[in-house]
Amino acid sequence: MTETTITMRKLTASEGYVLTNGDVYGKEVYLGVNDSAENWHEITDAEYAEAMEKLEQLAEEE
Amino acid sequence: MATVKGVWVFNETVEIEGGSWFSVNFMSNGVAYIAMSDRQRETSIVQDMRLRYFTSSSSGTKVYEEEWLNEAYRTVDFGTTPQEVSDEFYAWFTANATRQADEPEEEVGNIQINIAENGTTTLATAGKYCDRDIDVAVTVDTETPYNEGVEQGKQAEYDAFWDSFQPNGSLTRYRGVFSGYGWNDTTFAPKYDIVPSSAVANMFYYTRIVDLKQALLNCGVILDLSNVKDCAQVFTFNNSLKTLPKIDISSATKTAQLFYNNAKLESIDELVVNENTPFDRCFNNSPSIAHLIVTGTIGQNGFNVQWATKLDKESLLSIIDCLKDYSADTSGTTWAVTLGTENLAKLTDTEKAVATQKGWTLV
Repeated sequence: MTETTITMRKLTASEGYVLTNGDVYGKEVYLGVNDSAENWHEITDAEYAEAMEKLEQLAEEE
Repeated sequence: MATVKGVWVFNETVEIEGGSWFSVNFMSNGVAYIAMSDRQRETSIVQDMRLRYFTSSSSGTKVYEEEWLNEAYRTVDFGTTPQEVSDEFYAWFTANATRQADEPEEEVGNIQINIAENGTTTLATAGKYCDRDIDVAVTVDTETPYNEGVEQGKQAEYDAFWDSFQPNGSLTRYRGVFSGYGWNDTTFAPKYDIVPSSAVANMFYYTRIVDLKQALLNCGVILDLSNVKDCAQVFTFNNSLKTLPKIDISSATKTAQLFYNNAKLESIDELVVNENTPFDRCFNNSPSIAHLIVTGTIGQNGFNVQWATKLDKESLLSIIDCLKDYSADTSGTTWAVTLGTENLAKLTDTEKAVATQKGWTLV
């Protein structure tokens, strides 16, 4: 029998903020075994909305 | 010519009309006969009214003379096979004898004949006897041939259209082919498998087809995108599509907006991918997707279904199961799969850990 303890590292964005690594965005992040919290930072909801707006415009143009 | 068969019984009194020889095979009183003759001779000396049965042309037995000489002779058996007799004999005989039903033989009843067009038919009289006229009611069916003609016309029209539209199955460029409001679950009825090799953008753009999976099943054809490299915008901008069949994009190098802006899309039977398949805003603005089974490998390009907040657990677990194992990768790269807060809440920590232990960050 093998007993394994799995540690989950979870980042949760502050109220009014969104977490991003520059490519993906989310309110909560469960880090992979080799990922680091240093790769993630918070942006405001407004900045997130602006980023999404740009993506939408890009999609419409395509 | 008439025919007789079966067992008959002469009347108590027989009308002898005289002078006729009737060739007919029958059994009576245990003897096989080949003919019978009635004879009426009336002179000043003798009044002769006889019925004779003959075993040969020259050997006859008198069986009736004013009365039956032996009651057993009243019964004659013509056998089970109908034999032809003269109309004269039939008229005289049936006026003087009665057919005996051969149990359980059934008497022919009235016969209904349905005739669609000029032709022949067979009366259902096998194994039955008849000693009377048969009433035959004839119904001319004009509806069936008309309906068959309509169906043949529809088929011819269908073949003519689809043989032209998908040039006898050779069409490989499907760009925008089924786009627009004219295509719905009825009008979309391809005759040939849809197997494009290039140019599929906007194939179903703004279509009115609702259940593409069933529509394909109804036609007995498949949609196979497995040879297509540019799968961008195949199903983009739709407000009707709800159900999609298996979609194989394992050869795709472009998938931009593959399922983008599908407000009502609920189910994708299976999405076949490989570790190099890009996922570029594939599911953005498609919030109704509840069932999406992914098979293959999700690799370097990640996966993002954050718009599909209604995904069921089976779908989420299929995604996690497909994630390539990057646990040994220490390059510092973030391998991210974006499920969204609502979907993450459906997973247990153990289920999430399957992904994180493979080196994936769940967002």
